[in-house]
Amino acid sequence: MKAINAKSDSEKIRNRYLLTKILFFKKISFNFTFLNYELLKLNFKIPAIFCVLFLLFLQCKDDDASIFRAYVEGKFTYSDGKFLEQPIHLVVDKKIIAASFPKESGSFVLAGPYEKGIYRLQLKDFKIQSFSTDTKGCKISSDSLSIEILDGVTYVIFNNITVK
Amino acid sequence: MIKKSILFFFVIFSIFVSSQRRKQSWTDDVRSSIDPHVKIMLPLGDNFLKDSFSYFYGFGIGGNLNLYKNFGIGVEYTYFLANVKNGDKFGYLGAPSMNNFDWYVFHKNKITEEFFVEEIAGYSTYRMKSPYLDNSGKFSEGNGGLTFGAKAIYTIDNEGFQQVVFGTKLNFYNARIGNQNPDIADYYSKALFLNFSLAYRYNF
Repeated sequence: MKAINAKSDSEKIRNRYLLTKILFFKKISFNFTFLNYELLKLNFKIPAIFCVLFLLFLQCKDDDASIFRAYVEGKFTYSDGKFLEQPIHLVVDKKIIAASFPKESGSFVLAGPYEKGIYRLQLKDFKIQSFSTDTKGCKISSDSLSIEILDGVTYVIFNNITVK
Repeated sequence: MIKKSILFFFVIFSIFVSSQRRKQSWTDDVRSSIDPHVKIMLPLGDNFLKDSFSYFYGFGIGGNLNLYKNFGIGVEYTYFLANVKNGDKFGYLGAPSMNNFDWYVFHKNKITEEFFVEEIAGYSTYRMKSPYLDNSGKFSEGNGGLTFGAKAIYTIDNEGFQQVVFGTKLNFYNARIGNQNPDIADYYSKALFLNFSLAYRYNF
């Protein structure tokens, strides 16, 4: 009987030990299921964060500094009032980049997007007699309808342009 | 042995509890919202945008992600249009369209249960496309600049899912348009926008 009791005692202790073991592993496994649940929640949110960050880097793009605005300002001396009714243009390679009308005082402003190449201040019917400017390299074209401006010159002031 | 395992158990348990608390609050703060909006943008200062257009008007969509406590990040895309008021200094170009992205960090203040105020700081990018009037393609310009602003948010349903947002922002516009005269280069490259937006926000 004693021997049996002793056995059952040691069995009891073993059983109790086993129980703590089981509880311990249960706790661990619960821990894992909890983590899985957390991960599921995060799985939805972390991609959202990454999507936003990805878009951020996708969007960062810089301009190259090869885009200019050609800016031409000045004053016409004219005799015929009809001169004011016709538009004046800036033209690069037959492509118009700027258009406006001279004011009654004869003053004008022309500005347009420009990259490179010789361009001209173009009049429609009235011929240019003479002009004055500090900018070098400007010259009246052979048909006298325009003033040619050198490549790379983006800012020109014509103090006076006399038209016939 | 049992004492040791209990101690071990206790250590594991305390780590588990503390980690649980930390994780819980971290994910509890994460909330997202999406808001379609309309905007009006006024150019300020001395620049070609002010002289050529009276205002830009546009529509778009935005998304916000609250990350930690009351702080979060957001992005807004807006497609703007404008009418040419005076084209003398703009060039031989037609009415432009503009793609605008705002990237920002925000901080949310709770004023009452339904009313919130958000402060915003971030960076904006712009790409303005204008067609040449002789149909020879499009001229594209623009770059980016800092943006600051504030939003007033009013909750319109009991569950707090739907909100109406009114926002004002200051956007700095920086492009790199070159000219031999630095004043003219600045005139075409630098501007300031005052921005008003009205949005319907949905939280999820």
